Amino acid sequence: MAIKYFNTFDGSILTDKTAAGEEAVRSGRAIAINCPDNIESWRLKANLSTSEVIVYGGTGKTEAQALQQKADEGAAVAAVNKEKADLKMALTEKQEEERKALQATFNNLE
Amino acid sequence: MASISQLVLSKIDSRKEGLPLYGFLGDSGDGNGHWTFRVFDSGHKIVGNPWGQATHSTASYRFGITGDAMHSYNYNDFGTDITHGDLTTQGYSSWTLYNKSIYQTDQYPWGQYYSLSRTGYVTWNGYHQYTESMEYQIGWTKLNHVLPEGIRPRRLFCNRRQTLRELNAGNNTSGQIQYYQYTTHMLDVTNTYAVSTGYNEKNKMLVMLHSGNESTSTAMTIHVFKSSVCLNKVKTIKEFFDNLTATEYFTDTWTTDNNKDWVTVVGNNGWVGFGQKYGNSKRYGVFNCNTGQSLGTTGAARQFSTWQDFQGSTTTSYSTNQANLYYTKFNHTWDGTWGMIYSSYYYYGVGLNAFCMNLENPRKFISVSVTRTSRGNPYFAWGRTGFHGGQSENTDGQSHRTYAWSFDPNDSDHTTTTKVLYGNDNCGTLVPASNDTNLATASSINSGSVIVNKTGVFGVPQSRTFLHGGYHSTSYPLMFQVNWWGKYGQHDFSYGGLYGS
Amino acid sequence: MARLLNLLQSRTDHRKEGLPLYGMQGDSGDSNGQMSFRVFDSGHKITSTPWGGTGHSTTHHRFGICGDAMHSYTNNDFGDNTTHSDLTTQGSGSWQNWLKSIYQCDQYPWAQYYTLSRNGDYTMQSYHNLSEGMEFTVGWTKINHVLPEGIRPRRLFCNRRQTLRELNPGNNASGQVGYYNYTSHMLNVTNDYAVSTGYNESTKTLVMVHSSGEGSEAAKTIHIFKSSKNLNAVSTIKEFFDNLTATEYFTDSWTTGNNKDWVTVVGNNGYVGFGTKYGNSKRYGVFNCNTGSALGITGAARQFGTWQDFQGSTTTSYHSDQGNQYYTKFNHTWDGTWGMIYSPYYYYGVGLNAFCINLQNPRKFINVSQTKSSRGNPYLAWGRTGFHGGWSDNCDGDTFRTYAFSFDPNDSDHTVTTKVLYGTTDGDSLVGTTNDTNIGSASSITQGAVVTNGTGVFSPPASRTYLHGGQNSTNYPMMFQVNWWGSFGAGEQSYNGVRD
Repeated sequence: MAIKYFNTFDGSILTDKTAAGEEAVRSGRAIAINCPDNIESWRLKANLSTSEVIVYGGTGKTEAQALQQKADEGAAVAAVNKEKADLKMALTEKQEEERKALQATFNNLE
Repeated sequence: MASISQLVLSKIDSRKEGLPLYGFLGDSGDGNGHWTFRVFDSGHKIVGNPWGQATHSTASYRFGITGDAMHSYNYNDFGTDITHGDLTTQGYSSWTLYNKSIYQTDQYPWGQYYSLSRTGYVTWNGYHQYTESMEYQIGWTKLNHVLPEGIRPRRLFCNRRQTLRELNAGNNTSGQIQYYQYTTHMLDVTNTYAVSTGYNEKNKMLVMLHSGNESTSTAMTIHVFKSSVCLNKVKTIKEFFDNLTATEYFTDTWTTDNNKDWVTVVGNNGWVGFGQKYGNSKRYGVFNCNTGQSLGTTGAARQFSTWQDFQGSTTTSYSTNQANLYYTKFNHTWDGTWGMIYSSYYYYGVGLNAFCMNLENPRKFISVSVTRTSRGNPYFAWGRTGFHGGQSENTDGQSHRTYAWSFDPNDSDHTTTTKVLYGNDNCGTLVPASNDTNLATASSINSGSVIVNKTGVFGVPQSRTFLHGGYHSTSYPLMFQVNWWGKYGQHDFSYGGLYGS
Repeated sequence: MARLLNLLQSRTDHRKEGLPLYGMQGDSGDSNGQMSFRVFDSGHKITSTPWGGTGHSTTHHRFGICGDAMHSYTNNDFGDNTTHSDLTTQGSGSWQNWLKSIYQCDQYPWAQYYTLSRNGDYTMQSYHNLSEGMEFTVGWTKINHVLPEGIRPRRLFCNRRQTLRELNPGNNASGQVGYYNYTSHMLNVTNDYAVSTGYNESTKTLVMVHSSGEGSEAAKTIHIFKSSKNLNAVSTIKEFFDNLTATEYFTDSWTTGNNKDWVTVVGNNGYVGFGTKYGNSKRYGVFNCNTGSALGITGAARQFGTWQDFQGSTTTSYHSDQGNQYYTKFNHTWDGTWGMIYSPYYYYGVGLNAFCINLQNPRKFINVSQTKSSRGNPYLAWGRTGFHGGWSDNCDGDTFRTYAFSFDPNDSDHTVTTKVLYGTTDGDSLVGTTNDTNIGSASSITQGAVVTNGTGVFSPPASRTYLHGGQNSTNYPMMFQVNWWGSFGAGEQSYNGVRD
């Protein structure tokens, strides 16, 4: 376990260097948390409410496994977003049909 | 008389641009729906837009502004989606995604993969044979310039071995315009491989770093050349060397990861900062390169304090060890008062690991850190004395944000702390009903921090631009470097200057 | 030598723009038919248009100039109709309707909801989170500038509490670029909430109003700071205060609706006008803020005349009490000779309730009133010495009209009446066969009025621009503020100088 320092504005990791980290803590820019060893820094994030560290993928995963999980999640998010976008388009096409019908009615009135 | 000539002279630098602009692309990700390109100024106000429109059914295969052969719907060589990838696992040859990598841009007015005019006309370079291009192969040999207010490098000089060459400025191999072998001007030729070069235009001071090879040799010779003519003005490079007023050198042994990563920042006060990517981290050292002071020919006699390791968090990331195109970058603010030696935090070009140094006095510097691992963007000069960029999150449902920060242009005393100003998400707290103090050591600056010199690290928060991403649904905007920000004070499309007369 | 220097210097202010431009959008109302966008000069002559055309069938979902993500046909977040609503019942969160509200624009070269470049490229801000944007939350802290001819504010200074901050100019939260806590320069700190600030660049005079709170508190301290440095030219705000040549103050108690509505107009002659929305009405007072004349530290000793209530018609309308974004606005003419403290007549930003003030001498002012309650547009600087805007009725069968009015730039004597010139619907009556007299107190001026100082009210009639609205059928054009009117005398797409 070793102390690492996390930004108070969003919990992202700032540094593992003691002097720089302590200076940031003194200025209110960071908090210090004791973190497990041998985890790549990009996987670490602070829960600012509980002052605990969150390890992406969990402590049991290797970095390669965590990277794979990231890639898989990215693909999943992309799929969800595509579905959302398609749905939005389908909905608006329906609205467009209704609007066209209404416009035609108005046009006939003028 | 003096004030008239001053007035006239101060107005004639044709290179001076307005405040920085940036390009901004947002789209539906498939090149077959929504695609918006806009150019913004530093206040995130629109400047230009290459308006274009097309139907996007399968009946129309040519879609996209300029119908780019590299990226369009269907008729494209390298894919339709250049913004929706997250850059978490993709290397540089994921061409579509790498447009968002921090490696795209530096102080030079182009991107590695594209160029963009102020009116919003963007074109991608051909990716075919890209690995033999200037930026891919020898971008690392470009000079690191410290230039006057409003000026970016407009000439391209590359220094390799013992020859300084000039090329037409851009990412091409169309041939050198000229070359000059300067060996006869060197006072020590033990080390014959130029690995880094810095130029300060105000002092007309050229500083070269030569090593035993272009990889891991730690033997360094540093030459300082001062001339009476400005390198950016000469017709031939030889003229600069024919008019040298002083030459000095010193040797040293510098721990080095790969020599091609060195960056040389020549300060106005004659101190020079040298920095490089080192493993996943960085190192930075400052040496007194003033001439005529009998400082001697050893690094030890000239070095300010000690080498400084980067103080932010690091993780696996690239340098020229992995490929030349990942060379450590340099940029400086519009007003030429602060510089940044930087590379990414995370492998593929996301996040920021940087030293920011004052260009009046490079002994004043801090570490700057953004530990982002996905959905990044390059960083650019921003406003008068700042940088911004780095963020590309989905703008469906929220405004676009950027990592933006500014320095005080007069803050050059390395014995005191450094003030850094930044934004946030709510202007009611950015301009609050409470006061900031003016004391450098206090921390009660709203959306500002006070950072210890040399060993301090500043983590940059995001701030809202209140721009939409360009597409009403899922959109991850991509930011672009702009070739030309418009002539200072004489813009047609937007105001680009700063002060009153 | 001096003349040469003058010539050179008068040509070196790169902030100077050509005469005002405005953008105009007209469309069929559903973004699925015709839409045109044009940029006009003050003579209503076209300057540019971001030309584009497209099919508009259902196979085509992306429509609109820039394919704006906020407003386009179908693929948009906030609706496709930005011009056809009448703004009779819609508040600021009715984003698409609110684009026509008078609240959109003031003297600063952007609008609350969009930015527009000179060549017609416009983009909406993202409405997501916009209620935390600069204009929504702290737009009221912007300085009211009185600037030289042809110049609009190119730097953004915000004064709140006792700290003056500089931001990159635009409606964003990307961070201040400078700040300065000026408390040590104040001679009296009883009231420590800055609520209004005015700056006159030709006299380098900064006038601040502090109160005891940002609500309806009446207590006021007014500080006058004169410097040898121009605030708009300094590197750091501190330089302005380091080079003060005079500082004075006075205290007073001012009846106030909401302190955030105060507008401070620093005249060239040292008199300063202070105005505010007050209930549905307005109040305006003028104080002698010259220094070095031993005028004392009470408002009573410095006030010109008495407070003046707005003399036009009023009805229910908004101000900072309802939301910070409704702060009372300030603008001035291109030539910097007349200013306007204004807000709408009608709730949501239609019509005009204004004091128009001579900037050489703010004791000279009149009331300007326009009582439209639907189909409005913002008001913008117009021509050399005027303002226009406010009209958005159907242009199918009629030309586009505007409420346009101009002043005499030399008309600064508050002891005589004010001449106001305006347009009409018929050229023959605008340039008639009868002569106008030149006597200030007479009223026989064609399309002109002579208005009593202080208490007089002028109501501009609508005049024809002879522009079509942009669409052949029912359309209600919308007017836009333009970021940059082009460099004075060096315009590329149109002539925009006045004289050489």
